[in-house]
Amino acid sequence: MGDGSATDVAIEVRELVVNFHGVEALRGIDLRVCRGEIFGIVGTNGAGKSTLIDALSGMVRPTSGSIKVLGRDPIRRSGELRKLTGVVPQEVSLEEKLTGLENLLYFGRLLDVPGDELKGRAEETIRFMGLWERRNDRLESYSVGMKRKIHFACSLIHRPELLLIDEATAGFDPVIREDVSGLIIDMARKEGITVVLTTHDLSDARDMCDRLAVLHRGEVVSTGRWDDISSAAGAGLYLGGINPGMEGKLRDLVSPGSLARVPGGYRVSLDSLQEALELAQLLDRNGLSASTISYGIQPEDVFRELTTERKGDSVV
Amino acid sequence: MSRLKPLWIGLTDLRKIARERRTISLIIILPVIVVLVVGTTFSLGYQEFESRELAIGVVQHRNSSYAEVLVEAIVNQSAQAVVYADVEEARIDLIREKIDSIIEVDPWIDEKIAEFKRSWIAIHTDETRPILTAAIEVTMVQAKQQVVDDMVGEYVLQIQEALVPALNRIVVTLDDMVSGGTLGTEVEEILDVLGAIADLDDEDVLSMSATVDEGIRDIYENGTPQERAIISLIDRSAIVGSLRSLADVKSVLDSIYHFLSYVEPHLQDIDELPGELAGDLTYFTGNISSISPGQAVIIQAALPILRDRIADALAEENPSWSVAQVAERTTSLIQGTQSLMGTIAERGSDIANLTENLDEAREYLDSISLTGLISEARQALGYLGSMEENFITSPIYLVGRPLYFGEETKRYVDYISPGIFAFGILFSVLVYTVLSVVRDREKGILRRLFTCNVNRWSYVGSKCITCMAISAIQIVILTACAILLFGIYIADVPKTLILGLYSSVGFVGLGLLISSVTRTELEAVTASFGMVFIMLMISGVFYPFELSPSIIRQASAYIPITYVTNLLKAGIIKDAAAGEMLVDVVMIGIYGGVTLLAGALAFQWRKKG
Repeated sequence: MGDGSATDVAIEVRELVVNFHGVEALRGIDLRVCRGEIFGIVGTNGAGKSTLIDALSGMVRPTSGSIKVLGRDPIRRSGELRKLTGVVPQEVSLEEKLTGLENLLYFGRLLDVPGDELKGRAEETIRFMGLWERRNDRLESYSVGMKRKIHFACSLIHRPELLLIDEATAGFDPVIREDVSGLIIDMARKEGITVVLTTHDLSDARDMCDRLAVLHRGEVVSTGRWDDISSAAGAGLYLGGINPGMEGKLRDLVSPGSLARVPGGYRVSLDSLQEALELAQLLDRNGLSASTISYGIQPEDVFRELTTERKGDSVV
Repeated sequence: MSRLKPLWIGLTDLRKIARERRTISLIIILPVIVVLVVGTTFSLGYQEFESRELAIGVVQHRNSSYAEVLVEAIVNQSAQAVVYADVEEARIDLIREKIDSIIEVDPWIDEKIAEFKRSWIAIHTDETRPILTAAIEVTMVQAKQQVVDDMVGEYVLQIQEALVPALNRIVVTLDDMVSGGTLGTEVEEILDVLGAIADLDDEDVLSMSATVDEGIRDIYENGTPQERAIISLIDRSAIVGSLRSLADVKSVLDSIYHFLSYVEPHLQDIDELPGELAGDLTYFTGNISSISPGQAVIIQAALPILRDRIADALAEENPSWSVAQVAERTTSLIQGTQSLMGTIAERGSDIANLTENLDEAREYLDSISLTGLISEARQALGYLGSMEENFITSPIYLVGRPLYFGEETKRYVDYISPGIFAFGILFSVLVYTVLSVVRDREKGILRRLFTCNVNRWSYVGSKCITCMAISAIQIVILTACAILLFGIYIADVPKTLILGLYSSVGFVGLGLLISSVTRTELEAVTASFGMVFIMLMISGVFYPFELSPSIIRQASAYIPITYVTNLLKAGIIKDAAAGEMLVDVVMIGIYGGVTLLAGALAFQWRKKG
């Protein structure tokens, strides 16, 4: 995986612009996703992630630019493409009054799964999801995690080559989040499916994706592997629980421009672990005690680093 | 497979509905409950209201016999009559709803009817109570019928009770005479009867048909819409024609009477009568024409000279006569003959014309067939005799035939039953379509369907299938309720089902359009109910459409439920042929097609915003 050759490219987006009622939702997006990789699109709410998924699935018509999904235009060859693509919407959009198995049969039939294979595939898929015992129960009796699995399964029943997942883990507790992450990785690795997912959680993106694109206000601000992106963002020392009244003293002890206020404390940008240790000692000597001190790259920081200037956040 | 997608989606929708009690109650049960309430209200409550609770004020400026008849007629309709002397006083009570209507009687009604056969009765109603007004009009028309009966029935009763049996008796007698040769013993009695008929005033008989004809025309021109509708059911020509036939029969019988009076002294055998008369005339005219003016002068001069010889001849011919009688008849004969000869001498040229005229009279007598005359009389009397008694006594049939039903079913609930069906279909189809689309959109089901390669046309098709299925269930339930609970008349159940299913498609497009402009379920339900309510008010589903203001009637031409109601009315009540329903079928098709197309094009897969 990596940048990939032309024949390995699953998705290619060039200069994509999408306007809604005069507002630019996507502003000149360039992307390339290789076959078989798990590609994450990361961004805050309103960054344009769902619009990008809609554009890739053919639901939204681009204002300008071009999109090729599996070598096809999503608007002009939508019918052909939808047979090769599975879309997992953000909301669990299933028929609650039907059973899990009935949902699979229903959406499988709509996805043109041949009649003689449909039942077998539905049973195989629901077994893969670990819900065989509950297959004849109505969906309204399922837990959120179980529904999410059926939600995924309904997009997989026709064995797509590409899976587009909108907000794969949003709103889940850690257990379900882990389940879903495992499921996505399993599908991609075992079935060889190309996965494009959106999330606003960099931890999930880091854990699941081969490559990422950080989206901010309709623009891609960074693309690459997690290591590349995090390196670009830089590491730092996190100081939690320091009294805000001591901020002036702290500013005197660190290099100008390296101190930033973060939720619960402060972050000091540093180049090495050695510098971090020295700073910690210095602070201790000057009576600046922090309840928590950690050094490294936090996903949130990467994100903040990439979007701070654009967001106009204050730098201490 | 892809062609069957509408079917799969539709069937899945139905499965969902079957498993969702709330939806079932909203879409199917609620309209049925509404129907039960409306049906009960109008089949029981309305009936009681119509028969017992109407209070009608009668304003009599002067006491008159016709006003009394009118009050009696109102009471006979089981309504309550409240008599007022002043119209203003009655109007105040109407405004305060102490009474439901006012009938103002022409102060000079007795005199006008006696002289002109025309008067007026004004009905004051409260326009804000249209259903009540309809009931009052029905009651008034029934009451007015009794008044009209009183006016014209008297004449017609005379015909039925006196004249028709008399005429029948004459015809039977004449027939017996012709066939049995019993003229000699019967002729005196015949002349008595015919003389009695001849004494009747021709003008009375003729004016009867004119009066009835005029009365019907008056209602056509000046009556209420309901009266006009009812009067249109009357075979006017049959009534007027019957009365005119009576006049014709009378003139024929009068002719027979005069004819028999003239020939009676000479009749021995009725079959020989025309020939005998013709022979006499031939003999007479032959003799007259053989006398020249010159001969007439000679005869005139010779008669006094021949007086003794004439007297001798008469005495010899009539030996029983006395001398004085012979002398008297001789004088009379000589004077008469001299007068005749004088005429011949003076107007010789006219003699030929006289002869010619007499020849024509002879030919006419030769052509007379008494058997034929009797046959014609029999036919005319048969026509009169075959008229039913109530038809004769009530020639102006103002009520008793509702617009669409037979004699038995004329309840208000029957009138509005097609509207109830249309309401059920409108409500369930519109609410279901709007609600299901908006809910599916809110839940992201539409978005998923889009990604499952379902296009908008397939989705629209699925909604049509589902709505038709819901409507089918609805119509079956409504039909069962209508027949079993309220005894509502339904001409053809399968036709009702087919028309109902066709009509349901007419509302799907409208539902799709509403769903395109509403974002939440609350908006969808509010908009649907609002639309249903507006359409019900404009279309006049639950009250007589004719009572709507003209602007509402014009507006109704633009909404589909008007045509659906008409179509169901044609199918349920009138059992109309296909051609009679064509306009409504086409209009629903156009409306349904256009709204489906617009609804499909405006269709949104995603939530807005």
